[in-house]
Amino acid sequence: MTVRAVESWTLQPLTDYVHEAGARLVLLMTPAGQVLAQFGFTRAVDVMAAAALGAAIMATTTELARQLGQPPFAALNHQGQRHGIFLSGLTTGRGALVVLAVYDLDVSSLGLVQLFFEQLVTDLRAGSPREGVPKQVLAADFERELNESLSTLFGR
Amino acid sequence: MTAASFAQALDQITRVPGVRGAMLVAGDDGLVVAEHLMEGIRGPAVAALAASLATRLRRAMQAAGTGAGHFWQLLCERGGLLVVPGPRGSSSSQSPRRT
Repeated sequence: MTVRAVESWTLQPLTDYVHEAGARLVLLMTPAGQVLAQFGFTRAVDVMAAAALGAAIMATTTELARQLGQPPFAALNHQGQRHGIFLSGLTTGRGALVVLAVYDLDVSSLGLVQLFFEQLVTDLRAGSPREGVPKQVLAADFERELNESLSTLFGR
Repeated sequence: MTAASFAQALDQITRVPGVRGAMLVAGDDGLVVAEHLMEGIRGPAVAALAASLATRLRRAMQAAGTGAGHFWQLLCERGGLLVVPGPRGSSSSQSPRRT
């Protein structure tokens, strides 16, 4: 299984992260839930659901932090019996991004996922393009662009 | 044990000549519980990687039917790393300088 990316500059940093951290599933997305790259997902519906839920969690915790008068929380980790979920935001030249990683406790650990996340942030910052003028999203283009992104993410 | 007693225990270890640091690490997570390290040692990185290694070695020893390991010692060019598994999956690692 390989990393699939809509934006090619994310490909190598994410590939390195997946291998070093031993992650089972990874999503790189914008805070709005637009997916830039993915690893491990086999169905588009799973990517869309994970992106929407991850973006919602980030929005919720960011607002909680704002209500408390604190800067946004650095990262969030949920650990179950067999898997852990790590969710964290980062800033790059492309703008704010969110990483959602699911790891298998038999293969990896929170320590490894956090450790290599720091390297991922460094690599993404080094490789990211500068944020350009935001492109106007037209309703007519939205579905076509979404379908193109999903096709790229699943190699169709 | 309390945080103060962890710190005291680690302090005693690092008083041994040549020892550059000691950490108490959560074995399952690879996170630092307490540390007493000299400058220049990346504690969280050592903790995460040493805990991962310890977990794999433990599985290897179980598979080989040798029973639980008592400690692991990794010798390198300019020092070494000792990993001592504790109860309930915890482990402590020390990085003595080779003298």
